[in-house]
Amino acid sequence: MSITGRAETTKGALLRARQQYNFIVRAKEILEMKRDRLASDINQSLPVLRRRAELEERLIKVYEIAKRLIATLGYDEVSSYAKAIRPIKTRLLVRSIMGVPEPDVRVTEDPGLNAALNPYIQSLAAELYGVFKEMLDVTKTEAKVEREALEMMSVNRKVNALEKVLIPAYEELIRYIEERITEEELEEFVKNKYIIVKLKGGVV
Amino acid sequence: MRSPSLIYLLTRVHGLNTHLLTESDYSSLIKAPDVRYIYDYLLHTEYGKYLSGIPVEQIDHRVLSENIAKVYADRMYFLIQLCGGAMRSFLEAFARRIEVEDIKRVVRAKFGNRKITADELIPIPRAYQEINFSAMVEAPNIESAIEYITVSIYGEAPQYLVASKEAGSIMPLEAYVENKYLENLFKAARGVADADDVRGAICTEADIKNLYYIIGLKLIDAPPEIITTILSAVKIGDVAAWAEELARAKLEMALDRVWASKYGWLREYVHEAISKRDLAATSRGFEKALYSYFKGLMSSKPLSFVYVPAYLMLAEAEYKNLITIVTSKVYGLPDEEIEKLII
Repeated sequence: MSITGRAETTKGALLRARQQYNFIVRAKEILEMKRDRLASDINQSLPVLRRRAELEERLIKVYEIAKRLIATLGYDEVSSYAKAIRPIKTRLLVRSIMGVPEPDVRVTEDPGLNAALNPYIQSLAAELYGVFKEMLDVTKTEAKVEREALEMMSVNRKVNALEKVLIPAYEELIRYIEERITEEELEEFVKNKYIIVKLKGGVV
Repeated sequence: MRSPSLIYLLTRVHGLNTHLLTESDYSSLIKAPDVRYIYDYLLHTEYGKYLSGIPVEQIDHRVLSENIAKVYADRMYFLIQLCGGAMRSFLEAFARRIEVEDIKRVVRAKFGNRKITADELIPIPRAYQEINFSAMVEAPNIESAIEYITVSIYGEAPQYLVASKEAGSIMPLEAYVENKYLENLFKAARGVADADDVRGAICTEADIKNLYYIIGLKLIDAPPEIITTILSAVKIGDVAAWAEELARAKLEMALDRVWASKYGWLREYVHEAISKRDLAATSRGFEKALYSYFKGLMSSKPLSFVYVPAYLMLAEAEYKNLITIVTSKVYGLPDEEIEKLII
């Protein structure tokens, strides 16, 4: 491992390596917590995502009603009624939650569904707007889940890199420095012992 | 003793009535595989006059609809040339329903701040254009657009525009324009022959349309205030007298009131649709009732002047039916579904 390759084998280096090791372990724990939080958030969003199929079915039903309405009144007439209904105004906000940018679309102005005199058109517009608002929630959740999933993949890669590569490498480095220091201490002890014995005139 | 001009007009209208499409024509058109077949079929009818000038490759539902609208407008204005005096004034007032339709189209677009072009309007011959629609279409906002209609019979339109803005809905203004048209028509019927029959027919039309708005809005639980605002524009017909009562009553109570009135016969057309809360069927039911009423008038009073507006109403029904058939073919509606939508 490259970390151990040029490592200094001093007590200072050991201290620094231990500090870095503790920091990396803590970082790994935090990333794991973030990963778990993202996973639980995605899990909680799944029921909302499942509503898409139901909403699409509702949308098809509204489309069938719209077809009948256009056939009944004619395209020009329906298009004319639709012009009385003001367009929906929305505002896009991007919120950053745990470093994940999540889009949030807020309806700032309702379309004024009761603008048209024809009750048939009003009822269809209300139905369509209801589906649209629910679809907007689903779409927001889909975008959020997509970004969370990407972030989770990135966090997972980081956790794996820390867990499988960096932490073992630091453990190896610490063990290596500790062994070298112990060896050096032992060598020093033997050297000192030899000198003391020599000074006392003894034979080693 | 009937005046020769009335006899001449009635004779011409009886003749023109035979040009309207029949049940068997509708059956064939409903079974049409595509728009091209409808074009071929209509070439041999009164529509051929316009359709024969269009290259086959340019035929689509929009071109067909535009030309169907031209024939409808022609029928509305043609009779005016055949008579004079009070009958002419009445028919001119009657033909204003195209003007009403165009006004509604422009104000809807202006109210919603949307663009509109003159091509989206039903053509009105220049001789009968009292309102400058070209300028109205170009107006920068609804206030400026409304100025162009105040020079005509719709002098109170700005007041109803204020009500519309307060309600956030174009309904009060549209209801005013429609009811003002009927009120003007009612006045124009004063000098014609068989004025009572004609006025009765106008009141029935106004009542059926207003009843549809009241019941339809109640079906979608619209607030009573908005219904009251709309009904404030109603000046003719029996519904004007019950307006406040109908606006405040619950749907069932309002229906009981209507069934107990002289409009009890509407029940067979709309009762089932209302009980199922089916707005499409309710809307078509009221229209069927209206046109059946005029068809009945044609059978029961063939020598009365009311035969003329009844014929024009059936011409309007034909226009709506053809638009329905053409649009249904484009959207792929099944034949049996189209049959139900035919008036």
